[in-house]
Amino acid sequence: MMGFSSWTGLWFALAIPLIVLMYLFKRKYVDTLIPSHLLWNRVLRNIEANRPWQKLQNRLLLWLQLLVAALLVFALMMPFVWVKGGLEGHTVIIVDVSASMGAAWNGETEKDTHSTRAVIDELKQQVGKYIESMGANSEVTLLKLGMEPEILLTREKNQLAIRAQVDQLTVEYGKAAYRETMSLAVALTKGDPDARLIIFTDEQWSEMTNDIPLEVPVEVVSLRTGAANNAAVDQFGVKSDGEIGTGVAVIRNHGVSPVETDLELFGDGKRLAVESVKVKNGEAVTVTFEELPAADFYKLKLGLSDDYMPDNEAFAFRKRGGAPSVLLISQGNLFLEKALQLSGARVTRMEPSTSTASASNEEAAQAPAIPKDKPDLIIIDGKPPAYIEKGEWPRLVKETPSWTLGGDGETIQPPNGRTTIFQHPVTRYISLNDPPTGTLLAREIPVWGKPLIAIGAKTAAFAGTEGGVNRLVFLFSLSDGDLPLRPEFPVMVNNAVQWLQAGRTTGLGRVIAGSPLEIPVTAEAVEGAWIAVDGYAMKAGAAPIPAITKDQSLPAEQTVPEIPGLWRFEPKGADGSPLPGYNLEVIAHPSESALGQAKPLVFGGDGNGNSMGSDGTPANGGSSEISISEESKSKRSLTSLAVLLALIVIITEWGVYQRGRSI
Amino acid sequence: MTEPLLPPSLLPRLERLSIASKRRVRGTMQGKRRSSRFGSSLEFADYREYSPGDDIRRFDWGVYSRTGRPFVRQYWDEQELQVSLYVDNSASMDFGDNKASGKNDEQSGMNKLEYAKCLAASIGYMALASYDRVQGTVFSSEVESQLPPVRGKASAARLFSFLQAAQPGGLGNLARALRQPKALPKQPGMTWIFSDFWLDGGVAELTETLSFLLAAGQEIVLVQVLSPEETSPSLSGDLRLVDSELGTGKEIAMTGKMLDVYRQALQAYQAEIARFCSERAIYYIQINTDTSLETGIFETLRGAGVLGS
Repeated sequence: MMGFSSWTGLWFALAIPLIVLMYLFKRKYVDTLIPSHLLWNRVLRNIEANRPWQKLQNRLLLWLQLLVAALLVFALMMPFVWVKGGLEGHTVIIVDVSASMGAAWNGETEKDTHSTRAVIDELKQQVGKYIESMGANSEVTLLKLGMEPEILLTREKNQLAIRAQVDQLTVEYGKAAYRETMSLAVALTKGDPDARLIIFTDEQWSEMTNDIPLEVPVEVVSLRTGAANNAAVDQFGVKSDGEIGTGVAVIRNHGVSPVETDLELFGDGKRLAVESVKVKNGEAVTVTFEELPAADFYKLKLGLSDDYMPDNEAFAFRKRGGAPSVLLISQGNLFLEKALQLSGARVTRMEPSTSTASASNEEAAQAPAIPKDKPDLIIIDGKPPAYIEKGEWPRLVKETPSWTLGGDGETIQPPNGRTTIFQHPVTRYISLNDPPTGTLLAREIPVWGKPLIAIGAKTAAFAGTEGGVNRLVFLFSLSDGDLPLRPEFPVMVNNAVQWLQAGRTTGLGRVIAGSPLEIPVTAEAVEGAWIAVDGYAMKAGAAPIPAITKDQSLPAEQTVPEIPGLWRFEPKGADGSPLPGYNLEVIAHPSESALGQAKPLVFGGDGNGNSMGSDGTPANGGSSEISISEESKSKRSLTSLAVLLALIVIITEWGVYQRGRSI
Repeated sequence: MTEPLLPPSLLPRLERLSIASKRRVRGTMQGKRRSSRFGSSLEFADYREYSPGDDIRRFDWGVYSRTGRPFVRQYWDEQELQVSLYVDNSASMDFGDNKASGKNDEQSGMNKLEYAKCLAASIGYMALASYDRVQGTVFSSEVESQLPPVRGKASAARLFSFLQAAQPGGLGNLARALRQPKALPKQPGMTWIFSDFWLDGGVAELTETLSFLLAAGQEIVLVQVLSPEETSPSLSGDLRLVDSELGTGKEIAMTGKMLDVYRQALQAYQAEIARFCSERAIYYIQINTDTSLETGIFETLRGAGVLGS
């Protein structure tokens, strides 16, 4: 059976009527009898001598028709050229929107956040170019590489739709899910022989990629900027000692040239100190600020403008000064009380209950009032008193960090086995070789609990954050073992107090953008919002972000805003009255600061287990593609071009007929 | 009966003319031309002492009576001039009549062959009238027909009818035609060639041919008869020029520039012939058929110095 691989050839049929037309209109030469050609021969020879191409022109028609024939042959051979980067088949375009994509493109120093051209702008342009080369049958799946992989479009053929999606891309400052996205891309292209991957990225990936197995051709369009300059506030903290604080900052230069800049330290918006620093490229410098006055939050700002702005500021929250006040509800435990006093806490002891035999309702009526000064932490040693579930107490317990030691309930014998100490601030410097107790409460460990001590397979102590409040639970009573007699006991109590009151700052601390965070929200709060207070977010004009609500209340777990800067979480009660809020520093993922240190991406073996580099070695320095297999090029047919040329030649022939140059 | 070749009125005027040959001719027959030899004419040349064997009729008795010495009078021999007329009747000569040019006036109505015949007839009549011997040859690529030498005015009719009979046609090849032994004149004399000289070999062919004639002791007069179409063609448009002899065509888009180049080529060709002719003391006369026959004979030919009264 005969078939036509392409009906485009039919366009050549246009040439047939054209040729016929030309023969119809071919100019007629009137026969004229002359005596002799002798002189005319000389005339022509003269003219030809004057114009060398006359000889060719003599046979111009021949040449033109030969050319047409050649073009027809050419067209019938269905020629094509390999076009690099042209899209054919199914292309998965991965667009990297990690924080480093917000850096200035090609070292254009950022002066104004709104007008500077960032790497992501270049990305949009480059993707646009690629989309332009889309073939009619090519499909594009657009995959966003951000905090989590997101498929923006699936097998889209419409260039405008793709472009619209690409134009909407914004930088995400959280921890970018590099491997996850690649894994998704691999899954998307699995078993699709036409598929290919194009990754638009600055190649600054904080995760390993060379073990990701790829079965399809991959092309990396590198948007790596040349000489990037970036200095970052690596760490910043303020330690309060009474009303005087000491600030420590680490300034790191990720760039390629030394940096000399001013460091400005602000407290609650007022400038407190200025220090000048010089940082060599690739190194870090520690700067200490002494005698800082008390402030709710401190802001450290680098005086220079560099390619990547979000890491140029850092915030610190003052820890509430003074010794923690501990409410100890205990029958009396000398060792514990002494250990608490050693740790510097002011201990207030309450008896759980003096009368054990009296009726419970009587007890309830006698529930003691909660202390006037809200304790910094509550330690319940042994069985919790009944009044703790009455009146104001539950709320106090809920909002205050607590340490529960033992309690009532079913007890079990701990299994035989090794005593294991898990890594936790509370168990620092502690090593327990034998079990600290003989009985354990048979209690389920809540989801937030992380084990601290385990005897055999059984957890003996756990700690965690419940609703933003630290909790420490020992499933045994101190009186059941010899723990208080061990030399590590005061250390452990000190650790526990330190850890339990760690949240006692004016802020919620430093969190990577977009990550979840447990916030100690009060029960009355029904709604809330994140408001940009300072830093990059405020400069960028970030709008308030409403907090997550669930069943008309604010759950403790909230997602922090996605733009770095100082944010304030402001909950509101049911009547719209503002409740105490919290400051929070949102930062971009620290690995994104290392501009200019990116290495070319290398992906793992293909289906045959070979390295993807075409020559088996990873491409290095400056090459924009790691590996382009043959399939990543696409065929562009030249048939239509040949048709066009043939028609042009035929029209040219027409001109020859008209001028009568055919001598 | 066809029209006479020459108008009768022309004949008396032609009789008064004669062919001016630059050389003393040597012929075999008595003629009106003074020979380089002493002979039997009435023109006195010299006296010389009688030697036995001299013609007794030339003895000058008057001198002898007065001086007693025998003298013989010598006269220049008068001999005839052998005039050979060659007329080209190839197809290219069949041009110039009003059919092609569209002109209708009487004088330019002749085609080149007619005109050449008339000229040849005039020259022939002139020669016959002055007792010269005249032979005629009509040629194209071969000698088509030949008129054996004739003498006397009475032979004019024979000459005229011979010329009249020549019809155009065939390829022209001067060299081939005139290099045949029978075509060359047997005796020294004067050779007139009437042709358009469109020779495939160009001037080289002509010079070769003429050197044969020169070697045969001929005084040569070339008369190039051209039609106005050839000297200044009035062609225009897209033409396929067909060679009358070869039948081949050439497609030319005729432009003013082309015609300019043609005229230059014509002049160059004629100049080439003229140069060769002046080197060999050959007369070269160009006559256009649009000049009347009388003008052609009495002005053009006479002006060239080949005719004298």
